[in-house]
Amino acid sequence: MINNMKLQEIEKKAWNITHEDGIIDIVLGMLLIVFAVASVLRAQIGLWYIPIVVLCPGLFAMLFISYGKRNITTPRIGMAKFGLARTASQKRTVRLSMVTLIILIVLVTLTALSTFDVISVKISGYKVPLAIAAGVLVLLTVKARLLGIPRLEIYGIILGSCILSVEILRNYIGEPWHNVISWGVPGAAVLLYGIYRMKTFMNKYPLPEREPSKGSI
Amino acid sequence: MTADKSNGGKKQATDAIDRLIHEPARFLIMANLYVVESADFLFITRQTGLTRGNLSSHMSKLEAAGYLEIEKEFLNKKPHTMLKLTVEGRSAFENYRENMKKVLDDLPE
Repeated sequence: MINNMKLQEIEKKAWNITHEDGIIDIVLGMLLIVFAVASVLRAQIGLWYIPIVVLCPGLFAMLFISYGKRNITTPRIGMAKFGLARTASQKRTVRLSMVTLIILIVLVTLTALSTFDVISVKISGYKVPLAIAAGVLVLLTVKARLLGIPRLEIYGIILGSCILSVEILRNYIGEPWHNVISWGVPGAAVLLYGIYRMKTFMNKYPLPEREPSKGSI
Repeated sequence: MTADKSNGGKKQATDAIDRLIHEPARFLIMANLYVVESADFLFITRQTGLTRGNLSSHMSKLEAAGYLEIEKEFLNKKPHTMLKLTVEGRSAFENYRENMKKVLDDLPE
């Protein structure tokens, strides 16, 4: 055992346990469903579409992750502070997320303003969605590598496919159902997978008894 | 003569093995704490699979040897214990790994 011990694997196992809770999956699934619902309601809600698609999901994601980690994950598996390499990766990921958020705000604002004829941005064909899909895929792949969470790469592919699918289905199904199918179906699948992961996590790591208060340590 | 020398070398290497870390449960605790900056009692329990009582008793031994720093606090009125390897503990673990490698490398095929 000692001869074959690989400290990197022990560290990886310790890191992975903190991401088994399904919180990221639930957040991503919810975000995709919000996109689907907001797209359906776009005509009714007008320019409110922008904050609903960008700010509300972002706020919800932050609150849910913070609440989930504090009330579901930490009480079940405890907490650990990881070394410098992980901390640096996390900081890089946060910076990357900020850049992504800014790009997302610009894209959604341009799309919404164009939809309501406030400005005229018309680029036909699949070039734009293809570029956005590729961008999303690259961003999530980089994040997956930085954070050491391989399934983020799969979510990059799913998200990229959603963006392409919106454009492809628009010609066959039309508004607003192309949005519902493109965002809603993958969103529901990712959400259900997240709930399944969380349930498995909670069964695998039930709440422990309280720590001994004195004497035994 | 050569055989004696060789046996003497092996004995030296085995003598250098830190018996405190060599115990499997303590080895697991040390390895799991070595790869992080610090971790709490529950995290180490989950990672090592040790019972709370077992972990507590090994922690006391490691703390007495100066390998482990135990910090007790209250979080939301609940007792919370953070564990961290000391500089001495980290260096002892590194030496233990090197010595074990030497001993195992010297074993005949």
